Amino acid sequence: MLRLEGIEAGYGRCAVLRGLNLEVGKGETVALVGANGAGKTTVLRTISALIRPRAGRVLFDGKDISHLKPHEIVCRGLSHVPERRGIFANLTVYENLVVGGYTQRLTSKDFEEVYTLFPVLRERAKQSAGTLSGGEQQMLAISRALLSRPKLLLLDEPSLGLAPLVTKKIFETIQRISSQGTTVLLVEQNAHAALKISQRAYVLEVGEVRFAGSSKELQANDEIRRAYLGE
Amino acid sequence: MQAFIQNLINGLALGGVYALVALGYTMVYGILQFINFAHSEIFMLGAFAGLFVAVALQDVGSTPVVVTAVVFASMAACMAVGALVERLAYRPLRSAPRLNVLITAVGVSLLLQNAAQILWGATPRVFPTILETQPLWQGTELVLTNVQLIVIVVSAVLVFGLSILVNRTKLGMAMRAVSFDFDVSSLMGIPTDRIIVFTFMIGCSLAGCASILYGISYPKIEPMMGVVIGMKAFVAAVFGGIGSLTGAAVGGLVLGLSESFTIYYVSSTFRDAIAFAILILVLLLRPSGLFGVVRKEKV
Repeated sequence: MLRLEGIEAGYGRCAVLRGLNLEVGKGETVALVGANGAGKTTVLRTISALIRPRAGRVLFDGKDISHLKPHEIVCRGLSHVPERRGIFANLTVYENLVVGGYTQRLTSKDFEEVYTLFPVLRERAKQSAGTLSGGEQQMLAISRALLSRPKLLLLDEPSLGLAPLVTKKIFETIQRISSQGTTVLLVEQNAHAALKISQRAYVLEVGEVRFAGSSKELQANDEIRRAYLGE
Repeated sequence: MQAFIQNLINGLALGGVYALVALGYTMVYGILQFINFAHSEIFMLGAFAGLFVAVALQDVGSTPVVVTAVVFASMAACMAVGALVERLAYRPLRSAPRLNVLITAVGVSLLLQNAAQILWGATPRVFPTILETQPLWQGTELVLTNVQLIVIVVSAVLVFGLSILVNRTKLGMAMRAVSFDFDVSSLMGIPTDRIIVFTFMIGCSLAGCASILYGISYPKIEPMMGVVIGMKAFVAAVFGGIGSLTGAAVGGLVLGLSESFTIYYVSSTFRDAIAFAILILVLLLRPSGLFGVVRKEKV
């Protein structure tokens, strides 16, 4: 469904990704793990066209999308939950959801679906989104992305700054979303949790894929256990 | 008492015009965080566009159709110029430092002023009477004219309409989202550049309408006419809290009222000084303006 071919990208003179190849199949949940500064977020930003690759192609559903603008990519069925959630704090929770479905004609049924997923959002619908707790903001960010009816969901560090219990709840929801047929590419520092809910994973190190394989394999790999799972 | 009410009416009519222009400043600031100094020249161009259409339609007489045509022509002209200025002058600087954009805005302002002088000369022209001023209601010292009523009603309707657009519609929500964060907005599928142009066009169309309301009340049109009005509308926007629509509307009214009362009770020499004195006072007490909010982001 998604394929990155020889992506080179960076900011200014500084190269972050050096010839990265990556693939996500339909229906899969794929994790992208790695240390700070490995280039995980840059991968997602390149897919969403927030930054332009210097070389390489991004293929989505077999078509090259690297020349498109970010908002055009959303129309193709790709939704990106940005790092640190990117909630519009000047809008209410409900307005955030409306904006999330900007490309769609939303009905009350769509809102019902996300409210079922995260009931707390219904209670807070009229509240300014800036007043939500970190966990609630993450729930809002995920719901907002779902309202664009994505085929592929990109999640950037959904566990960032959240309490363990909240993290657990978020990861359960991601599993649920994936079981309902949405393909997921998950960027995480919390390698443990990410490997647990994904089928395949890539380990990124200074802009290159260091390991790739099934999540089970990676969980069993000694080197990865030492470097990323803290064992 | 009658004099007081008279000044209230005069002030509201003047304040309505200031408010409409101030909204343009505040909308652009809200979305791009810079002061569009060229906005006062958009106002001036709107007045000229209205003037030409009014002259062309002079034989038709002063019917409501003519007035409407003049207003729409001016709004359309302002929207076109606004979109053009954004596309040519501001969009290329989207990722440049704010100061560069600000200086560009001053440049665009001078460019438009001088272009207008070359094209139409510096001599003031008289705005044709498209609307005969008639007293609607008369007391001993008190007159409410049809022009004043129209100015007040039209400004109120536009301000109200704008607040519905921004607060209740999906487009308005997208505008506010873009004003908060470009990148994240584009991830929602919002075409940010198009929303920005649209914001410019709305703000400019309000200036266009304001210029006709102004032209009907004070029929003197010249290339430098935007400077003082623009400056006062800018003061109104800052006074109300730049970026806030309510602030711009209230700021415009306060400025109009204070000017009208100053002329009557103090002296017309001080009318502009009072406006700036108010600004300084408010900014001393509330640096972010009456309705301005200091934006905080939760991490």
